[in-house]
Amino acid sequence: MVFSSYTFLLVFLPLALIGFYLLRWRGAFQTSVSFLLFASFAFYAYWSLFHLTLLLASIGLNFVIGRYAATGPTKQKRRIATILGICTNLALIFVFKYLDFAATNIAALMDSEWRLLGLLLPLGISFFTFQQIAYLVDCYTTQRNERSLSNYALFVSFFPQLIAGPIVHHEHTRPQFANLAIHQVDRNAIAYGLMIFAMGLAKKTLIADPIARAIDPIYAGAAAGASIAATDAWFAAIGYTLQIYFDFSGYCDMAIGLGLMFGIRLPVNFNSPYKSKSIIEFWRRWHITLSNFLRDYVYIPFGGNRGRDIFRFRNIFLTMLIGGIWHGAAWTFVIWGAIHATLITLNHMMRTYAPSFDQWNDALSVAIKRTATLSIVGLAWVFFRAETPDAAISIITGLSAISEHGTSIAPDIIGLTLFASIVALFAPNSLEIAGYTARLDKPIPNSMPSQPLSPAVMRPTPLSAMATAIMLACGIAVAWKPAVFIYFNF
Amino acid sequence: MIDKTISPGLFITLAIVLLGILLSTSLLLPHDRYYRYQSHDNISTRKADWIYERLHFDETPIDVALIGTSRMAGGLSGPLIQKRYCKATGREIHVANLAIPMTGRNMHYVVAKEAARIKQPTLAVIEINDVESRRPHPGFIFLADAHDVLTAPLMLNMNYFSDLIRLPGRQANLFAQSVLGKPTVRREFDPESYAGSNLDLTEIMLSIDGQIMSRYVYNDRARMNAMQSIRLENASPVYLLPSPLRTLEYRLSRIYINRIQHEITKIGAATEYAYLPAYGEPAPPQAMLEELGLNTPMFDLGGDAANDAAQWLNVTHFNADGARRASERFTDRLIETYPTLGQPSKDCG
Repeated sequence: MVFSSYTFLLVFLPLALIGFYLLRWRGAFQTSVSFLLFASFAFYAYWSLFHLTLLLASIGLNFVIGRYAATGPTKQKRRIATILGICTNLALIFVFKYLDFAATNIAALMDSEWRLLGLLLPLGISFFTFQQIAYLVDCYTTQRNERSLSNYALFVSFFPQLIAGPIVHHEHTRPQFANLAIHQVDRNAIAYGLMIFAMGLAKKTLIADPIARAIDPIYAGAAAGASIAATDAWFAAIGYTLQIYFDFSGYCDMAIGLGLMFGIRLPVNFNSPYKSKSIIEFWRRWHITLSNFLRDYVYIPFGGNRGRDIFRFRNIFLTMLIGGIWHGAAWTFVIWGAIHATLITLNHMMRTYAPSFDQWNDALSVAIKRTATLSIVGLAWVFFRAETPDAAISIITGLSAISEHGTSIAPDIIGLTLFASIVALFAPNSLEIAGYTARLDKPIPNSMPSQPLSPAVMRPTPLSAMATAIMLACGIAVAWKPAVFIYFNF
Repeated sequence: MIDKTISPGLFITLAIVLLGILLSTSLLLPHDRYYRYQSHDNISTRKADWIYERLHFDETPIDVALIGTSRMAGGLSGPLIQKRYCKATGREIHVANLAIPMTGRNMHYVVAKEAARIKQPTLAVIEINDVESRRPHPGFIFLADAHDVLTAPLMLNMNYFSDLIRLPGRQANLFAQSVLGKPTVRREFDPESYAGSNLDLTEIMLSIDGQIMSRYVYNDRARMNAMQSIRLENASPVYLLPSPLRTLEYRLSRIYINRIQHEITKIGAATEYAYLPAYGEPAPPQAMLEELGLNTPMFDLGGDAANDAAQWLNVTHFNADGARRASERFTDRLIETYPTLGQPSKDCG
């Protein structure tokens, strides 16, 4: 059930909200939390009942291991339990996501053949396994675990974040779910949730999907071996850079909006990444919770900043490479990960050996840095999107090709792309507009990190209600043939 | 006033009410109906744009309108029927095969209604199969008038709610397309790209990827029997529901058959039913016909042909030879029942 589909928008979500708030209206707060868990399972089961059983098994197993990792008799036994838990989670993700890819390549190297298992990838497996790995490590290090199985299950399966993140820390949601079982939901949060959700829906359906429909044939042509005209190649690269931005930021907004509608603040996962001045900054703004996970649970265990610079750079490179492969089992993702790993390592080297570069912050330098960062990110996205490395190279070589072919892109799509570029590069993002903060000690609206509360922050007014209704109506109207969110594939 | 901060509760109520108003209002948005018929543009099932062009832009009258699924679309040749009828009776008739791929009586109603209102045929022939689909046609939401979507039967109509919730989006999209002049296929009727009055799909067909394929395909008996056994394994029995609920089993089809008859009768035309068989199914199940309220004699295109492997493209569709023979049998029955259709002709070429 995609958030922008009619089934979700007009059936599942209204039923979930009505059921949840009806129970709370009757004073059954704890039951409403259980209802939320039930709704989340129903949301997942809509795709596959078998995969729901897999999710349930994963939840049960991690809950038990987490308890042992926190309360086991000796540190060594707790450590072994944690490692076993991590390995089990990684094995699960490996079998479903990487086994065919790895075995096929190994078999090819050995000049033999691997008969594909063709296992259907359980939706959100990369997210719920990573979230549970983080939980196990936290249980081991803090010696605290979740006592209630239903609360733990809700932490893993809460439907707004189950399929494509954000990757949530147990410590972030635990007090919130506990609160939900006792206190009223802040009505202000619900109103802001609706606004943010509407903005996300509009981004996805009004910007990302039409651009996707325009560029998909170009990538399909490249995959089929067709030569790509320069104008089409440029549009394919720029178009996908914008499509994935509005797709993922739209999804993140919708997830945060949905969370708020049920009284839960999810972490910020997306903060205008195309305004970044460097690759390091890009990864602090793009898929923020994944970057944090990689830092805390991959980079630091690798050794982090400890030791000589060369080891630090190695750790950075490997961490980013793993981040790339996490996105999918294909050489295109490996190459994409390697490009970002190289760039971020080079960026860290520059910070170490040429620290003054970071201090060039006059308007021209900032413009150059932003342009350079965005260009590299955009080129790397071609590998991320293309079906094969050859198709990606075909697009990239097409960028400089001299061709007599005209573009196949309609003028209105070019106009939309231009509008989307301006929004992505210069406009405040939707969380800034709504004054959203994931910090539980701060009210909503609030300011985004490092930015003062702007007077432009959206407030609940008749005008904003109208804007919300129009965005929802447009989102519903154009969801004629709903597409899947890109990050649902991971 | 409109920028004054209001309570969150009022904000939510206002947003939901406004959303409801916007979605309801979208149902009233006008659009170009030609654009609507072009929106059903799935390559392998696309035919609605031709149907619209045949009914609205082609001045050739229609004496016999054939309404059904892909079995009829590829199983009866309008030009062949016209020629054979003319040779036998000396009368020129115009047969339009308005059958559209995939099953669902609600689509037959949409096409029958449009044909009746625009071309007033003398005779409408409705397809009957060996298994009546309980499901509505997936293309109904693309082609039906908003009023027909809103007044579709609710009981056991598996697409009722999904069609209903897609309706505002369809209306808004078609309105936008009409205003911007951006249909899926063509902005205006183009005689050059029009497939003509006598579109005949009995010799060719379109594959899922848009390739034109010949229907001169021959399967031997063993292959046809193998395909039939697979089909039988998955085919629905005459009754899926337990006996107390049997009156509901074919309710959707019954309602739409009645609506079709109503539309046809309203213009003083006649309705006939033609059995388009599947391989190995020479006659439709009597119990099913009774449930559909069709106890009248029908144009039976089954019989021996159903068991002759040489006439089948696959287990549910005639090949080109099968279609030719079915068209001949159909015409013979047409001559027998309606010998004075159309106009006298001097040249039956």
